[in-house]
Amino acid sequence: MDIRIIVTIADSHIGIIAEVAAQLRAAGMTVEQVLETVGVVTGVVSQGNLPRLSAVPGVVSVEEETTFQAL
Amino acid sequence: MEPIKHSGAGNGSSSDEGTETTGRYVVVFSDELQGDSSAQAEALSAVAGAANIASSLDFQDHAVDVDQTANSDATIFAELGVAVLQADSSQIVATAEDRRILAVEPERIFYAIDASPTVPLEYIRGYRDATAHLYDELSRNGAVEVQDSVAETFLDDAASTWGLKATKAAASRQDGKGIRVAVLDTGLDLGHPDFAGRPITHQSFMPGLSAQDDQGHGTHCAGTSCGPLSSPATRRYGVAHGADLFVGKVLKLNPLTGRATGPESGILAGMEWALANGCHVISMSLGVDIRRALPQYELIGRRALAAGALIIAAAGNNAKRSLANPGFVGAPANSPSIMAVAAVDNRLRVANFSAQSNPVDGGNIDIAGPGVAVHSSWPMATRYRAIDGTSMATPHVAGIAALWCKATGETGGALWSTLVRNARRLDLPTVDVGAGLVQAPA
Repeated sequence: MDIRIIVTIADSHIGIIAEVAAQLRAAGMTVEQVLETVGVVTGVVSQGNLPRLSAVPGVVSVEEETTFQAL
Repeated sequence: MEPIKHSGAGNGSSSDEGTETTGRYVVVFSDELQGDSSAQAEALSAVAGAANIASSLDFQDHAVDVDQTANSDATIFAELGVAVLQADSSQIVATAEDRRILAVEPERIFYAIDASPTVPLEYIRGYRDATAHLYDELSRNGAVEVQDSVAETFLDDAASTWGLKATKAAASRQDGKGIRVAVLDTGLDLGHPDFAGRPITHQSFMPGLSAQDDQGHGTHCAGTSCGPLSSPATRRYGVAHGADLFVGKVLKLNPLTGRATGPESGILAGMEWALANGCHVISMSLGVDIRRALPQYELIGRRALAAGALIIAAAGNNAKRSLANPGFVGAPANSPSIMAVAAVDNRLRVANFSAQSNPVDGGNIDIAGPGVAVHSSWPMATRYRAIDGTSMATPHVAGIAALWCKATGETGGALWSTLVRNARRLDLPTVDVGAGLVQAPA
């Protein structure tokens, strides 16, 4: 089961976000966007690989993608 | 705490207000005498005949020894600009009338306030009456402008919307020229006549779609934040008419509901674009009804502030206050580093739908804006429309932030502070309206 996720990168690792993204890929994430100014990597991961992502150095949080609505 | 006992202090008594007084007076010097203790002493001598005047300046660290000063006619507290004065009633009338004196009050006895119910009701009443007396005194003398916000009503007229009047944006000389304002929403009707000839940078973050507004919400919000100074077809409805508008499409029409929604990945891409393009203000009239603050928005909010960008987000419309449901601030507004905006109506009452502060750290309402019956642009051929929402309050704050940014050069956290400090205090709880109604610079 695939989950769409938002991975937040720590201040300490924003400068090497491309490398963190590579490690996320190696851990099983399909990386769709590497947003270097906000410091976030977005994409998809399987339920099974999800726990591996938090272990990647520089990852502050892994959250499921949310749908937002106009207010 | 024992009340301070004064020897030879004249007629200590219970006044009509129900408080106990010592018979002496507390005198407040006007600002022009601040720091000038000889002028202050001279004033007391001239009007009240005070001869033996002590001052805090006479004591080490300004620690007045009240035993030593007990028999002085007056004691001046230099840092406070206040003195305690022994005088008779005719002297005190002259003192109050002197232009060097701002106020004169009887010296009252104060009590420690316990949680226990033994604080006398008369004391509380007396405190209330003394405050009412001071209020009357100051407002009569014109020393303080007292605003009664409950009674005030604002209306749309031929010149401008009620919201521009209530926030003083209509009267502002500022236009926000050169300030970059990003509106992340459903896009903009790029063919709308009111935006013709205006430099607009637009980008879609929704696959297969351009930034052309397919729903209306984005056009409305862009209009409120950055609409033109005038339009031949309607009253003025926009705040920062000189700002550089950046339109990011991150929401699209859901045909089943008629509402606009968008995936988070697109919204994040829009925020990335706004920050990377040096936007000073990022207006986000969108959210999700989650109490928990999502970690990505706190970090992004902080990074934005550090980069000189202020993110302003709608608090949420999940309240039904008429049914005693106050709602709660959702994400991303509920992050500490993102400004959360509530909605008020044209009588400055909190809107029925406007979400209340959420107890999570950062979930408080920061400020309020006009959010009921807000007239602004809409995709052609409808052209204009009045709608409600914390979504409408948000671009008022964003546009006004652009005006302040231009006026002061402040960005990020300093700009946030300026908005809060200059808000119009409302007679409403901060959980509903934060610092109050946003106000534009002169």
